[in-house]
Amino acid sequence: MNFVYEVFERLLPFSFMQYDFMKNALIAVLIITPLFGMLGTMIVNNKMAFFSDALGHSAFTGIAIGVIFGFADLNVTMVLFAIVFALLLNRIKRRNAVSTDTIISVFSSLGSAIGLVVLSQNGNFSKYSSILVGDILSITPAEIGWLLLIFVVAMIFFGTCFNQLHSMSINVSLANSKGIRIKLLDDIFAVMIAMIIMLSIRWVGILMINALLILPAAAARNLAENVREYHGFSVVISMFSGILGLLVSYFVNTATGPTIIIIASAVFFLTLLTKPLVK
Amino acid sequence: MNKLAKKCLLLLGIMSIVTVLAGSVGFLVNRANSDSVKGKLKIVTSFYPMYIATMNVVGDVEGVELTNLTKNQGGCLHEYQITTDDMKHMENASVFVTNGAGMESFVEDILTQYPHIKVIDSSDGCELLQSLEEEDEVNSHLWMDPDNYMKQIANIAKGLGEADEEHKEQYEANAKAYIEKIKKLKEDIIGSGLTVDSGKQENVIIFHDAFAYMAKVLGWTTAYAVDIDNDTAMSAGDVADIIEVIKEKNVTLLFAEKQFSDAIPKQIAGETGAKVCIIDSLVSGEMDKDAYIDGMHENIRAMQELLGE
Repeated sequence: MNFVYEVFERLLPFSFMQYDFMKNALIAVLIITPLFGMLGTMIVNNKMAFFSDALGHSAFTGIAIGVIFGFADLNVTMVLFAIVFALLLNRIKRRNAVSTDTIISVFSSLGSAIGLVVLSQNGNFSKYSSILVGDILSITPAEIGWLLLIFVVAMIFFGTCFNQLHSMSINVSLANSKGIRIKLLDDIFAVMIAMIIMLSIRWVGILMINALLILPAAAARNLAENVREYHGFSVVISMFSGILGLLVSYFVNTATGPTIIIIASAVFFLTLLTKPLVK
Repeated sequence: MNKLAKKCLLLLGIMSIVTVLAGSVGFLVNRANSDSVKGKLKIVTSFYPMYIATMNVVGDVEGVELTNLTKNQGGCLHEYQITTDDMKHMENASVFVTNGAGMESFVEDILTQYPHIKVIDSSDGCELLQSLEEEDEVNSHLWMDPDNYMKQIANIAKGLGEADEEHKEQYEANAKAYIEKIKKLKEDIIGSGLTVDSGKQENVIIFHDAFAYMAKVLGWTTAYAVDIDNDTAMSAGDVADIIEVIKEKNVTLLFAEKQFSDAIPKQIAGETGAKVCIIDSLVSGEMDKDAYIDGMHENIRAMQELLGE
């Protein structure tokens, strides 16, 4: 890790790079934002925006479970719970007994309610209020290791399954007829989202995480005309918002997650306004 | 020009506009709280009471820069979350004045990262009460007892003298003068006609651990401590418990914290006939040298008014 720090210090001789937490944050942003850009387009295509939001809320319960059982590393319980949560949600969703957004809403509320009940015991919720808006200082080198691992896994997944995922997002029956194992693919994708969200939620904030997934994709959609452009723009916008947001939050002393969102929103509205110029 | 190039150009334009906008916002905000001058002794205090005490000890000693870490954070420090700005202050500090007794748990991790900072634990040698809110913890609001506060001032002066030998005598002289003022304040408290020696014996319920020291100074009994120094609402069961205690122990006064909403104490008072007294635990206010003394006087006045009737 020290080697990486040194490289960053050499490459970026700015005053803010002397702090380890800023180096950690910048590395995390560089890993996570391209992922968010890619995932975001998929989530928007597959109409899963609400699903990822519900997953974010389940972080409450994940943290609560970790606190109850006294885990030192809350990431473990958060990720495990989110995976179980995502798979269970997918299963119930497939039964088609209730409409999808209703069942997601039920899961989302239950996920936050259980967590809030445990965490607000004895009136102590303020201890955890930082998970709502995120805390940039919470990024540890170990977490960066996990993020890197997920980054690699996600890239392999996208590399091999992109076309299947894409045809699934266009039409499920079509994908079925092509012999794509929809259930499996759907589950893997859900697990992937769960892991990525959980490992970045503590510094982005539960209230903000979904916006970070959706906004770059939405802005990219304003400009893009084909799939390649769509993904490319989304990744660029996501990385741009992440890096600029981090720097602004450092200099202005604001919470990082919300700052990134404001910048991404600005990009979204500007692309919306200028859309007629290029289309 | 083909379409893709046009789009890339547009996106680039948008990104530059946003960058310029964000940059100018950052520049304006940053200029407002511009950075410090070099070559000074930089003292950072952990929070308001420490800031006021250190301010008095430092007095008009030249070449000292005094910063308060937690700004004018309302409420107590227990749940304080450190910001990137705080880290920057810590980075430049040479002395860090703390209250001690567990109040600054939020900086413990950070201090290990900055071994060059001299930490002054002002609670050294103070008489600490057991916390009534949290089991197995000491009550860290010791500055509410003037005797402890005087010791804290002396500790700060001693620590600053070690860090800045050149001005040692000035620090000590300033501390002595300030301690004299606090002695006078203590006499005022004893002469206020509120203490147990002057025939007043009240059973109180405190809505903040800080007031346990207040009750101790006056010789009153603390029947129960309610922990509402956070924003979470109390449950109905808790409120019922408190009402039971009030009836059982004949509680006459409720010490409510100025920082927090007094809705719950008022409601309880309405049901039981006990009186609500709003007390300032002196954790925020004007950056004024006499803030501690004025605040304490204000507290005494508030109690006298209530009990004088």
